[in-house]
Amino acid sequence: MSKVEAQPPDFKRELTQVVPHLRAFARGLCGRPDLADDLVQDTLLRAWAARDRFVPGTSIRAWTFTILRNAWFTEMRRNRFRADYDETVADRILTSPAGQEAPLHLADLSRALMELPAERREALLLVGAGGFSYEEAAAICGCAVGTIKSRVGRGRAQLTAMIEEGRIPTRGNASESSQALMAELDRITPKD
Amino acid sequence: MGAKPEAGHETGDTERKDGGMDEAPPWAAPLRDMYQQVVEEPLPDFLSDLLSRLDRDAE
Repeated sequence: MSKVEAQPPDFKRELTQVVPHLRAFARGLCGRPDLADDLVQDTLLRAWAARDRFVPGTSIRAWTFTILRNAWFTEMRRNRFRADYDETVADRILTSPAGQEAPLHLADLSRALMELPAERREALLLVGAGGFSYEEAAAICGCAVGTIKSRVGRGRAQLTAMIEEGRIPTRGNASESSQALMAELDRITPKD
Repeated sequence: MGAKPEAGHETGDTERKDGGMDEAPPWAAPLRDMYQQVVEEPLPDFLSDLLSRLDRDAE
């Protein structure tokens, strides 16, 4: 594919527009707003440094999400973003929108999400929350479309069972899942 | 901006893009709410400042 260098103002504008989505994806991955924003900052710097490799007309959202998830997996392996899920912050921030009936508290959902293996959580965030197609999510994660479908299906079933069976971790127990998360990361993350 | 959901990928399939089957699971809408809530937050100052610095760098 031929590559046409993006004009800086256009690239900057598109990059700016995608930042709120990067923050939402990062927060879903990390479970902590402060770490998520640090990750977004890293992503913006990496994207800016690599801006000559972005192909205008393609999805900058997918491109930056790829950078973010790769940075996250890499940094998790290096321990930089390895921290306990901040439930107090989550409880304060993740409140249901006013006037909207929400039988599932968003903080509970956030805790439940953190129980999922990283690859399933990532797939659910991309497809279920971010609105990416399976094909786009597969490209972001660097795997086959069938793999993403499988991860979404398994994550969906696990999350549904957790909620229906009342197995959402209580406050103070969510961090227990971090060890399982790290084991999963060690298994799926490409080595540098 | 960015990627838009693509329609019709799963025609004839019971799977859906929202990670659900024909009947949406109870967490489907809250998951989207959780994501959208962050999208609608104002950017923290340090990220706004970073974006401004990128602007100056481009000039």
